[in-house]
Amino acid sequence: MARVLQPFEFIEAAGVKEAVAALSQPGTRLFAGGCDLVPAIRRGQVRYDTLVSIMKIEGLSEFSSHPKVGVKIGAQVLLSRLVNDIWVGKRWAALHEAVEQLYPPHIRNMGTVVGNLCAAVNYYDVPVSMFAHRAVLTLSDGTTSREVGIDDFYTGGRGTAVGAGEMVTQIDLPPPAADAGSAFKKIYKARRRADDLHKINAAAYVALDEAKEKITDATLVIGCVGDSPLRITAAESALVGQVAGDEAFNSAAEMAVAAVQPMTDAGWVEEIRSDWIRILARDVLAQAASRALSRHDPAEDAHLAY
Amino acid sequence: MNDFAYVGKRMTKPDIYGKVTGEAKYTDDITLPGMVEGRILCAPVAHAKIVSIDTSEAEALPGVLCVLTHKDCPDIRFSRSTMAEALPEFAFTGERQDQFILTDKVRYMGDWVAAVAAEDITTAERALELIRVEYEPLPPVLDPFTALEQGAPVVHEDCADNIAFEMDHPFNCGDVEKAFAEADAVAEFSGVNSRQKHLHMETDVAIASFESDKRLVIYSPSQGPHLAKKHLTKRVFPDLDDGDIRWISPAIGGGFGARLALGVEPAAVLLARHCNRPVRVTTTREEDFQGYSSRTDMHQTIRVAATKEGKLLAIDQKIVSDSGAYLSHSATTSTVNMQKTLGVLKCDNIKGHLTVVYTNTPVTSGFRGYGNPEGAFVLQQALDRLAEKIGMDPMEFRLRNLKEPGDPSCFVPVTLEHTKLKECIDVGAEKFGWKDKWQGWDAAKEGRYRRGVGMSVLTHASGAGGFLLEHSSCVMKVLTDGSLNLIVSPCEMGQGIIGALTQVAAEATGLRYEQIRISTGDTDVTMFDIGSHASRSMLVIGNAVHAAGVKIHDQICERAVKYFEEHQVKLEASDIKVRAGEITSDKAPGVVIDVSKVAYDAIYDFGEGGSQLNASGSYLSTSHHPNHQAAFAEVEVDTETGQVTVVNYVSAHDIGRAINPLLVEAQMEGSLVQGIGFALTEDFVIDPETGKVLSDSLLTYRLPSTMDVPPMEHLLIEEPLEAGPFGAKGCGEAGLVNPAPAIANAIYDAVGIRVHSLPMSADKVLWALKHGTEEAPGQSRVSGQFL
Ligand SMILES: Cc1cc2nc3c(=O)[nH]c(=O)nc-3n(C[C@H](O)[C@H](O)[C@H](O)COP(=O)(O)OP(=O)(O)OC[C@H]3O[C@@H](n4cnc5c(N)ncnc54)[C@H](O)[C@@H]3O)c2cc1C
Repeated sequence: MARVLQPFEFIEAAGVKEAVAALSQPGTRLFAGGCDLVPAIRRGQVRYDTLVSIMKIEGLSEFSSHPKVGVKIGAQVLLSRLVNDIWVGKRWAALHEAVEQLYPPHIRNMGTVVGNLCAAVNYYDVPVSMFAHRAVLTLSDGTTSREVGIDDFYTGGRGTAVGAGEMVTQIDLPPPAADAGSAFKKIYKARRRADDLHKINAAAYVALDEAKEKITDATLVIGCVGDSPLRITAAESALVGQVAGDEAFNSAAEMAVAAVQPMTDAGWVEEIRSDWIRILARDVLAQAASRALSRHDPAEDAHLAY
Repeated sequence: MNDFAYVGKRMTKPDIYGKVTGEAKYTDDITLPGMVEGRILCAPVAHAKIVSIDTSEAEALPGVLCVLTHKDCPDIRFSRSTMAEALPEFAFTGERQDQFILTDKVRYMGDWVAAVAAEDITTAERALELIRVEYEPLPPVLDPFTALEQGAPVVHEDCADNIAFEMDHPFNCGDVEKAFAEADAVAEFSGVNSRQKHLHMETDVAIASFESDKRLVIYSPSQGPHLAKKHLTKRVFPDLDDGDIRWISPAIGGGFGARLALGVEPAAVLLARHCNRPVRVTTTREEDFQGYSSRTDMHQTIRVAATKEGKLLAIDQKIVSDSGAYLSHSATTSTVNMQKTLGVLKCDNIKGHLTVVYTNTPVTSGFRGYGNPEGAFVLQQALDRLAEKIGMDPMEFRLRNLKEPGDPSCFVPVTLEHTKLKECIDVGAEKFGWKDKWQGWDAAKEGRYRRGVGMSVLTHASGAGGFLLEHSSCVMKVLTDGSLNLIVSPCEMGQGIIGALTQVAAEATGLRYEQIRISTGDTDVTMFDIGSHASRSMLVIGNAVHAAGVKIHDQICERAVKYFEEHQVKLEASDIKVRAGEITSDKAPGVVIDVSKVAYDAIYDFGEGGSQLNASGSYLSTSHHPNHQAAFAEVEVDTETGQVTVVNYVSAHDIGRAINPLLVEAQMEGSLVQGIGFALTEDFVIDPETGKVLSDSLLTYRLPSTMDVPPMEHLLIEEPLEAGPFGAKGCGEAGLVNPAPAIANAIYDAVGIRVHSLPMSADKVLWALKHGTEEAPGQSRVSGQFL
């Protein structure tokens, strides 16, 4: 049953070290924008005595994007910061679409990108797009840091690779190949049982050869169907070397359907879900490829960046 | 040409500045000295006996003032709906009084079991956790059809068959079966709406305070505080009388009909009584989702019959409404559904029957449109099916069956005197390009994305004169600077009525718009009025303002005679006019006297003429003065995902006269957005096994966003209604009626399927595309959970 917020300690840490040190106390949790935590506390799903804000820590607000260098997103960067970024829009279109379609706007204005990933909620959109872009997260204990690829970040349930005494300080997205495109798409339905899902989301990245015909690299990700986004690796490897077209995308889409475990839903829900997985997989691949095809000369982009 | 100073102009509403700057005070902004906080314990199961409640631990918690349960409540049942107090005795059987402030038995998940008052809200919250309740679970009944079966679990012991209310349409007429037998074509459509949430931004809250003179002061965002006060004294606390309570509705954070019902006010009063302190009771958004209120889901079957020339011969409507655990507004909304649905078109053979059923689900209540959107969704699709059977353009079919002045209105005892529905259809169709876009019943559409068009028409009320207690009064006084205090009782919930009434007052008195200040929302100050609902405020309250305004105008004219004499002009009062603060006369060209001069001298007269300019005005409405609307929608259906996008929407509203076109358009726009949510995305789902609300946050209950709103055009058909203030009719609710049926008809035109339950979400559309709609899955029938 719902709750009003109980009082808690609120620490505004000045450094990463101070923040992670505070976490050693039981009942303590890192706090960024609070969009995930506050409703969970109000619902009585979690309870914390101390919340440690990371929003005052020096050096975590960096955001930069460059088509040749990649995207850097510090732990304090708000979702809204990405929406109007020209490079994210052009070269990391899946991420752009995930954030652009995220509403209400208040959430974009308060929630962080990193918080969205760390919340480890299986139906969130930003993680799915991050899989397509092969994000790398930097985890730090204030002294040393390590890098974890998004593929290894989620550890089952709502667990992440963030260890005790660690926090995420940054996300890096590598630059896409010269002739590459990406896309994100989602579709909603109502939950009809307690364990029913209420949406499907998908993202893809497709790189083409110089002739812009054959696929040289691909990522296909489906969300909402397991604890964390699911990469359809069979489809990805099958796509490489094929001509970017309906035939390749349709068979990749079938592989996506086959890769997803049936859920306990009613049969008809299962049917719609499979249809949607197939259609979204095909749509994001086709959209990503079409973006790869229609992309103009990268040199032009590079000049715009300055 | 009318030479209005303000009426018909796009004025900025005066209360908007406070709203956008944060100055406006809502109930939650109010703090009284010594005020403590109250919270309510909600049941975690859908149906259970309460075996025992141990409050001792909670009471022992420092800071807790009292913990109350059923045994502390007045032993009297009441309905959350206050409408009983606005209905005549004969009609009033609909309002079963069926709940206690704190319940004797759990009837839905979220039912109120206990209440706590404590020095601060976190202590109150902790106290809730310390209340030990032993429940003996009972099998819940979560579906109205199961509830009607023999041997189903009983929700209310004094209502063994779970039928909360049942009636035949009072205006049944003709011989329906004969008409069906003789008709050239017959069609039928069945469907159910989902329990749309009001989602007013301000969740339910109330403050109750017993003052030292023993009077009770209540602050809460009520849409009708006079009615709420009457209801509270008559049915909840009978030891209190009308004069014992002062009810203040501060700024209201949205209503949409939810604030017509009592919310946490009775609990606040009960707590305040027990702990002798002012108490504020707060609820959260999560609690709002779990059970505060929603639209009633009405399962309906409508059969229609026509001649091959397109004359509508008969309509037969059956409704089974799922009221939830308590009756609240569902009997009255269902009745209004029948009235509007069976009365929108001309038809001589009409039959309607209604059953309202109790289930162990959250309580439903009144919602903008009040039964009309629920009925239109089904009727307008049945009409389209009928038009298809006789091979007629659906617009043409409706045009052939319009009511005309002189016909009975949808509330049959009242004659329809004014309708511009035909003009609405003509103008809307022209703007929409219906002639080009409608390609016939067998138009072939191809490709993944298919477009289709659909339309719908409606009749709605401007108040319920002839039925409800439709009178209103107001008071005016003029200050020395020519400004006006207008004391009047609409409830400003964001709809802009304060602005529109200011325009009426300024026009009628001749004073300046900028200098009119409205006092409202305090039952000690304002005159009796049943509140803002049923699109009534403009017509009923507006007429009262007009009546008082004309008196002020005439007083000014009479006093102005002597000022013209100073200019050597001898005039009668009737030669003089007052407009926008200036007094002039055609017979005295060039002479302009400011109203402040007259107003000042009226007060600062030490001789015999001293009296502040003042007037009161009353109005009694004897008709519901229907307003009408025609709407046209164009949609695009993605045949692979089932997603529906509205790409264009045109509606035309029969407004009489738009006092402020900006506000009328805003009402139409806002209600269209709410209507698109109702049609496509908003799904209030109750777990068919446990009775728990699954769509319990704004993440899973999807409101439309700006991305879902199409290009839209709202056209105003203006021909003044004689009885309206400056000719105006109501407009607050109508816009929510047409979107669902117009979109549904457009989906059918695009892809040839009809979804039988709202919302017409992508999964249902896709299923229907693949399998047709006969073989509907998930047939639990709870709250729209079947296709
Ligand atoms: C109404 C609503 C609608 C939404 N719609 C969408 C949507 O459409 N699509 C979508 O993808 N998301 C959606 N979200 C989710 C939203 O984007 C996330 O809740 C938000 O981005 C989380 O970020 P935050 O900064 O608020 O995190 P917080 O709530 O502050 O933290 C979230 C979690 O991450 C942990 N954390 C935060 N920062 C770090 C760090 N640096 N290192 C380690 N752990 C950390 C916290 O301890 C906590 O467990 C929606 C949320 C709401 C409330």
